[in-house]
Amino acid sequence: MSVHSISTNFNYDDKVSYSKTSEVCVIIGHDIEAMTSAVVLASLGHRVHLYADKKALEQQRQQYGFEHHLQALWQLYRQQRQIITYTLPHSADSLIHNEESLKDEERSDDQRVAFYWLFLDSIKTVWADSDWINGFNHSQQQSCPIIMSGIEPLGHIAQLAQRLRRTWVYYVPFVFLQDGEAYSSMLTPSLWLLGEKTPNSIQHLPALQPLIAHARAAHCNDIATIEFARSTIMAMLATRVSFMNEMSRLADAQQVDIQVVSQIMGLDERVGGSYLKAGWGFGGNTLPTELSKLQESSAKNSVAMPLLQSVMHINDDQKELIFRKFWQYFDGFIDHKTVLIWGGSYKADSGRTAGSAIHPLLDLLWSYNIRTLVYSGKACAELAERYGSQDLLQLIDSPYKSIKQAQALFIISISAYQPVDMAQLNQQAIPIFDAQNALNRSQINALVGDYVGIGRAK
Amino acid sequence: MFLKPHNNVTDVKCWQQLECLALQPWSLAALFAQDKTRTQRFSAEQGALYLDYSKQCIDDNVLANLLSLAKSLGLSERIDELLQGAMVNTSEQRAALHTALRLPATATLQVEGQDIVDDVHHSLMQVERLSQRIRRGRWRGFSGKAITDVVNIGVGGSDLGPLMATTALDEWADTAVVVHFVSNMDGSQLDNLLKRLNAESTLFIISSKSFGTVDTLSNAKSALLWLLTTAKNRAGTEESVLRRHFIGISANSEKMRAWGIHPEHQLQLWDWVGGRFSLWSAIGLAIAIRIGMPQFRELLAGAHSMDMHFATADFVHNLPVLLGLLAVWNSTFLHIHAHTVLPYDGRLGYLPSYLTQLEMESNGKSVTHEGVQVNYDTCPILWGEVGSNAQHAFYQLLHQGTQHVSCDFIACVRHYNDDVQNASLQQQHELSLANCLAQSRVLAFGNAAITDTAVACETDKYKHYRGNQPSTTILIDELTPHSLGELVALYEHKVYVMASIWDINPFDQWGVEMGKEMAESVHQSLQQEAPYGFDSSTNQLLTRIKQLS
Repeated sequence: MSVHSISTNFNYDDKVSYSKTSEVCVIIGHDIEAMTSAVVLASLGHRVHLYADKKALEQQRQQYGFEHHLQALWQLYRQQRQIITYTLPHSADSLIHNEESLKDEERSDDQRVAFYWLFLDSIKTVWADSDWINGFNHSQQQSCPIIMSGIEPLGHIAQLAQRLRRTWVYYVPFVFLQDGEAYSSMLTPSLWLLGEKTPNSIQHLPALQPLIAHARAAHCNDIATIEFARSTIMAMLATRVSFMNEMSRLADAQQVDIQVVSQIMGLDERVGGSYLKAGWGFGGNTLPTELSKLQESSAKNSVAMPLLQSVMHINDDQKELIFRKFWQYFDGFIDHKTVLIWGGSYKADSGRTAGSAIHPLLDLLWSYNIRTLVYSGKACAELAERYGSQDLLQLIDSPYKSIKQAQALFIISISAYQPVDMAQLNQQAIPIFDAQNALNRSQINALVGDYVGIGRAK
Repeated sequence: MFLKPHNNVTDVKCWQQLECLALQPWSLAALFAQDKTRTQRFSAEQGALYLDYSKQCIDDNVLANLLSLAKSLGLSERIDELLQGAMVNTSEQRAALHTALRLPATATLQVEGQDIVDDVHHSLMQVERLSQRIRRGRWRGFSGKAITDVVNIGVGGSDLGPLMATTALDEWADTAVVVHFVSNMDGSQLDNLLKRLNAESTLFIISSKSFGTVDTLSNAKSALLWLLTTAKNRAGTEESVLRRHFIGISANSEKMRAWGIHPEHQLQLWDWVGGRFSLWSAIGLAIAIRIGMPQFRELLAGAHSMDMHFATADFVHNLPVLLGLLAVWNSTFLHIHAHTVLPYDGRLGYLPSYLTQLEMESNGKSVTHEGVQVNYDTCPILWGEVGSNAQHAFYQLLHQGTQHVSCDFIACVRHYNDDVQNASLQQQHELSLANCLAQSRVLAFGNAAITDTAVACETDKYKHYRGNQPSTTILIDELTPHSLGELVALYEHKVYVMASIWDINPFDQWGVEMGKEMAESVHQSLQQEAPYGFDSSTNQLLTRIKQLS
């Protein structure tokens, strides 16, 4: 088993020199990771054939409308036909036939496939594992590498790699991808992990060398280890968040500001400062999916993981904690009130609401006939599509526009780049329920009205 | 509409013929030996239920006379009177309309000029609304936490029906909300629960038809104090606690209001629903919370299908009529004074307790509707237990004791069919079924049923199995909300058939009133010094208690 860092001393076979090859990178998938990979490879000078469910691809593109940089480059490379999209055929055979139908001597360099990159989350609804593995096992180009990406139960991707006959099979987890900065976070990744079926075979992926070279840290290992590492990293981050959220409840009781405690903790090098912010928990797709797959793995292996269970339980409960604080403030007499909500996305500056606290909050508020005025910025389109028919929802385009009508303000996710207008807030002096812990201490102190945060109060 | 009075039942010709027939030396072994087809004739089915009563001490003549007795005593009219809302509860001048609780919304039933089906379905809608709020996590406690535990405080019919049904149907439970039951006056059940539950997320259902039952209200008071103690530490107010943590179910709105139940959380009962017949009403809220309203409606639908069968089927195919007449035969004519219910299915573990109340509180009477002392045996003593447990408890008495006991064996044909992972459980189910059939066989035929001489031996008296204990076996295709509804309604109507033949009122319970009144005066004495003014035994016991407390 090879274990080696590849961040600074990447060695690949000198005979396989890195160049802006005109070979075609074949990407199969429609999710944001597939789109980002296509754009990044195109920006590195590669031709990309992207096979995807066109409808799902378009939905994804619209959902990530807030990824302005990525979207602009996507349009550009498609116009230049550096990225060509194809409808994902019902069988892998058709796709392979399409890419490999010319015999080697007949094909020019620009028709040769550099690698197939399969985004497993996207293709699983169309292709059964056995079908696409069978297809690739019968292709003529067995020397062509296959890369897989996606979040699966531990060991699953390593098993898929073993079932593929070819030697050059890899796994790239997207641990580096950040919402709102998809393009740049892949182009200069914070951490690049590469799983190899065959040890020390990285030289067969010359197209990815610039990304590895630009990574702040990189590491190569067997696929099962990389899968485990990916999962453990994500679970650790989730654990830090849930731990801080648990501590925030004690901070409430002790009348200590958990935000200040987080900053102090960050000063300790052993702890570090990331993922220590108490709030309504974590959402999005990556962390929840990762924990869910870990849970599958624990069940499959009959290994109890009480810490993991607690992390998930705390996170679920945390999403409605702000509602309970609102409830307690009014002693439960909340029926028919009107409230203002800032933000709907699962994190500030994202347009996605998957796993966001906005959903349980709205559900609970509506169950008490509470009118909700929601200023959600980038997430507005998603909320409109999901809740368009709800009479108690009014999507508004300004954070202060309807504040006079509201008897409370909830903060779910507001951008750090959008300063809070304290004067406007103080004009109404309504209680603020800050699930994001978005306000800083001086802002809290300057408030005329009441403030209730997560592990902090006025 | 009033109940038509019987003539003296013992004057009816077939009654006298049955008395003569009962004097015969009945031998089940002989009956089976003489008649190879009796099982085909002495069995009936309806819906998911199959009734084999061939192991009862009857022949065609007895059955014909029992059916004639039912006809002569106007059972058809009595059934119509029950279902149409006549004042069948004569001592309290009320109808007994538990069957109306499961009528479909499209039906109508006029009682004193008012269609009560609308009222029933309005109440069901309230049950649905409240149960959904609880199940969906929208009902919040004083601190805003979702309800995780519901404690049903009630006694008798307000306890046994929901307890029996939620236990039987727990496989249909599709919520994390746990339902608990508290009935004991002494507080031990409640104390045990309160040590484990979180006050912030516990909701209490106070079920009492009168809202004056001391057992229930004493538990409710303790629950309220427990909540207030916790709430005070968390800045919760009494108003909030009362509003967020209590639902009341009663026919007495004024008493619920006075106790502090919020008007929106009051569910109505009606005078015309007896407590032991009330699980179909708002009393079933705990069931609806646990299994969901669609399944609760299935339970009602199953009971309604049995009502329709009871109302329309010929007596010879009518399961409740047959079961009731056989019970009368055993108790009144054969003088078998004990009856045991033996479900071979742990899910039906509380069914015997439920039926104990249903039958003995209903038919433990000795005067007719006209207030005349009866001169025949009425309700037998009823008890029971899950069959496999009973085998290790009281089957010894059934097989070799001196008492004659009639038995109801109840078993489900299919169980664990979906659980392909666990063949062992299916084998256990088969084993249970085998025990059910085997025990009814040995009880019926005694030594003749046993080939192993090491077990049964005519010469060793202690190895002798006399047999001749009559039994009925009820097979349920599969235990579902619908089939449970059928089963419970079958027994309700059986009770009514027995009462109709005996000309007694199954819907009152005056026998439990005196004890309640006496308890009040004894309770007062516990607060006072001697002398107490009771009998010497009670006085001495009071003195002893006072000395030690």
